[in-house]
Amino acid sequence: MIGQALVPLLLTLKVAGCATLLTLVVGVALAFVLARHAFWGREVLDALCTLPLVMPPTVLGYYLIVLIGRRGWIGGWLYDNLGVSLIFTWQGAVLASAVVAFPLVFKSARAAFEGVDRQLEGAARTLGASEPGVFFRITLPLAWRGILAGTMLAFARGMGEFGATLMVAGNIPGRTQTLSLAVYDAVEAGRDDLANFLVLVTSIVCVAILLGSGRLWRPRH
Amino acid sequence: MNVKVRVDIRKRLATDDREFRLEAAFDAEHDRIVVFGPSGSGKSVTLQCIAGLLTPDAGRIEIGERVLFDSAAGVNLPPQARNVGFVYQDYALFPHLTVERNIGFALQHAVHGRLDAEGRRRVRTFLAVFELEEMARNLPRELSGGQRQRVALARALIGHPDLLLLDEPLAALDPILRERVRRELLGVQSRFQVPMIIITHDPADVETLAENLVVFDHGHVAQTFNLKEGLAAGSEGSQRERVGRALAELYAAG
Repeated sequence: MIGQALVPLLLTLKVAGCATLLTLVVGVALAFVLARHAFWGREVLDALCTLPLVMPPTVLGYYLIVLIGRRGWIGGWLYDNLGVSLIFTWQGAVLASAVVAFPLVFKSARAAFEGVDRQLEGAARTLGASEPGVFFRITLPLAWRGILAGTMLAFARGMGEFGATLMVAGNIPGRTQTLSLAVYDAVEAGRDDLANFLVLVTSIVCVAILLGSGRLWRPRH
Repeated sequence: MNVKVRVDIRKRLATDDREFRLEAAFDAEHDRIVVFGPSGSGKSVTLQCIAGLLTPDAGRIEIGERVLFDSAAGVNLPPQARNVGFVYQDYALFPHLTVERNIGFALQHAVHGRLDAEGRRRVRTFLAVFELEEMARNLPRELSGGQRQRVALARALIGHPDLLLLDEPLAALDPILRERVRRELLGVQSRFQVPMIIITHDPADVETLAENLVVFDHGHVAQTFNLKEGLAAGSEGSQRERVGRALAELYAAG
């Protein structure tokens, strides 16, 4: 039974970890652009980036299939040119989790960047700091806690992802079956002992993550 | 030092419900140029244009022989290349950096953020000059108002700026401190030999600090005075009267 829980647990951590990393990079970059540059259609783009928060995960999953399926716009190109298909792979599950968790990082990063006093950036410029210097020495360190809070939520959301993952990556034990899918399977099959164990493992991991992130929270300045 | 400062700029700022037009032109060639005027008259915008934090719509800004901005010639140096120090009204100290790292910011390596031996020596000197040695490892929020201001001055001066801009440097201090800080500013200037442009709306600052006085009103330069030469020529009485009249008119109109 431990083996039956360990495989989906490790897969879940891998998928949620990769998805969080992906949303962190893309979400922070996009949030910075939207927080610091006014351009036509900015709020439309903001709404689009927030959309996964309110849309049913199965709908998101369907959109992803349309995009990255073998006959999809991106998926077709990938398959024809590189022979790669993301459907029914753990990488596909990463993409599904990343899309679902994206608004959590993006929203908190934009709010965090907008909360950084522009005067501080101006002061850094008059002191000779280059634009990347201003970002990495002033803006990012001051926005970091807000970004981290969003990142933790994104990881937790990725851990529990079900609908979009099921649509894109399926429910293949050992390959794409994450914890939440394994719980569903166990209950379906009437294996209450396995379901109990999986639920316990999930709960412990989630509480551990929350406690761990709570330690990062404490205010410093 | 006597650096000649020539400013002739136009800038339109618009928010949703109001519009502000700045058309400021003045020449000054003394070490302490005081820019005086009621709030909202364009002083701060002008100062930010000189520092490169705002870009004028048109015009020209010159410090000594250096052209910082010239819309006709397509010159617009970024703030990093202007070598102009800027002290914000509320100091804008970096809240996540200690006093010594704030002061050393301009000297720190851009990637790893460390100082070389010469940089460390220089930061130590500045900590001593500005009486901040005991606060070196404190964060800005742990400092008093006067200490914060000294950190802001030290941070702006450590990179040898050609010109120091101070946006209402005394406004955030209580009245008892102000007189002391005015004296400190004079001391800093004679020590570091740096020309200053100082914004204020306190007539007492004009009295103590101004060699050149530039009076702003509604986005325009209403009057300029050369107080240093006025005093030297022995016409102190009439010069003072004229300044007094100009400031009184400003208050009556405002």
